[in-house]
Amino acid sequence: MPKIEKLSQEELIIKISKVKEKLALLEAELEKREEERQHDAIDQMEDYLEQTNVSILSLAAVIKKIMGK
Amino acid sequence: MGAVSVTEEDRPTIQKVGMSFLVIFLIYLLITAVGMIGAGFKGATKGDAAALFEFATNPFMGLIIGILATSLVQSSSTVTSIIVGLVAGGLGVEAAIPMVMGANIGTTITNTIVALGSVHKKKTFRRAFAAATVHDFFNLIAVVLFLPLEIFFGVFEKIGGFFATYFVGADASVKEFNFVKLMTKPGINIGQDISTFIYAEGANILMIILGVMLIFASITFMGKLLKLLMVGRAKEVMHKAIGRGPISSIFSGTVVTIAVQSSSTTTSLMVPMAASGIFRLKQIYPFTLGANIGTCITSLLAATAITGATALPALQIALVHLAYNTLAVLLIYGWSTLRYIPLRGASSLAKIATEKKSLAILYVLGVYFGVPLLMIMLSKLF
Repeated sequence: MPKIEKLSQEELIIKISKVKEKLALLEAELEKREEERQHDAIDQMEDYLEQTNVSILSLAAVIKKIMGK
Repeated sequence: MGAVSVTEEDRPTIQKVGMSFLVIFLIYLLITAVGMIGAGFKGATKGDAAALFEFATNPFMGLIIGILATSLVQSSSTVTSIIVGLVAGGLGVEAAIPMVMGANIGTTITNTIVALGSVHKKKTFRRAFAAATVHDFFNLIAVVLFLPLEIFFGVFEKIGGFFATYFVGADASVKEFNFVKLMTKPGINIGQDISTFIYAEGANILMIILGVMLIFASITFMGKLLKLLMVGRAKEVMHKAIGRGPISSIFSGTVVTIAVQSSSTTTSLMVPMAASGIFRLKQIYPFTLGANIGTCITSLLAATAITGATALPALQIALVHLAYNTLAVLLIYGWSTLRYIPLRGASSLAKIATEKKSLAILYVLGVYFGVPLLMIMLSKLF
């Protein structure tokens, strides 16, 4: 069993606020990384645009694919 | 070796200038085609257009026509431009409003087809289908809220009428619009001559058909060209919107759609981006709403083709389109109770569709074709 440290109320508040700070930093870092990935995706927009070339015939092909399975 | 894609930066200036001129020519072709439909329709009905469109006076029928037509041609810009031409030819604004609302629903078929492309990758499909259908849910809610308001109080007819009168004036023979007439008249005359040469007795009908074909062709080619020309601008706008919240996303969705002149392109573009997990559904949603507003530019452009006495109703229907989409965003996205309904609906539907893929097909066929066709058949029976 891990040793449980007994803390005073002040120490506990300090520890909690430190954890909160760390969490906020991690969240900010996560958000930053997400935004970086989004910027990268926008830079690759031509590739995504290629995938948008669909028609009613594409729908027929998808139906055939699903029903065939 | 893989194919080398040409980016906007790599394209020679001369090519860009040539493409830009081609876009200007296609815009000219679009407004001329709208004028052709108006003239052909006026000639074919001899002023009695209301009788020809008697079947569309039922607002539900109008809504269904809008859904079906847009689902088939996969372009709300094409359908709304044709509607502008028809209104110029005598179709009542009141009958045209539900058609415009239907066009909004029909246009969402394209991004749903894009989502179906990833049907065999479970996680990817779930994200893609939710990103596509959030647009469907939003547009369906907009119709549920606004169509009754239009039927009982004529809200949008009044809003469109008020602003159209403000811009064009109650006396519709506006002088400022004569420049457009001067520009489009030769094109309309050529269309008339060709139609008379092919089949003199049915020249007006032929002119309408020619106009519809020209609108479809000009919007399709314009979309393809603008995709190549404006991709750099679209990237800039989207880069700026990241991390800036939903209003910025709505704005960027509007600007990108105006740039590429196609809401289908904008909303479909977000589907693979959401499918890969890079963008969350919550982030895609406001961008999609911006596309709804941006797409109204084409019908406004089409309305500039109409001069004379019918300029007022033509502009009125184009402004109804803009007012409808703007108010839908303000009300549904602005009101927190309604805002989350499309998100929840799309997420739940995507979850079900991932488990049972045939239901996804059933949904697409049902919403865009089955229900509209069934309603048409029922209206014939009763």
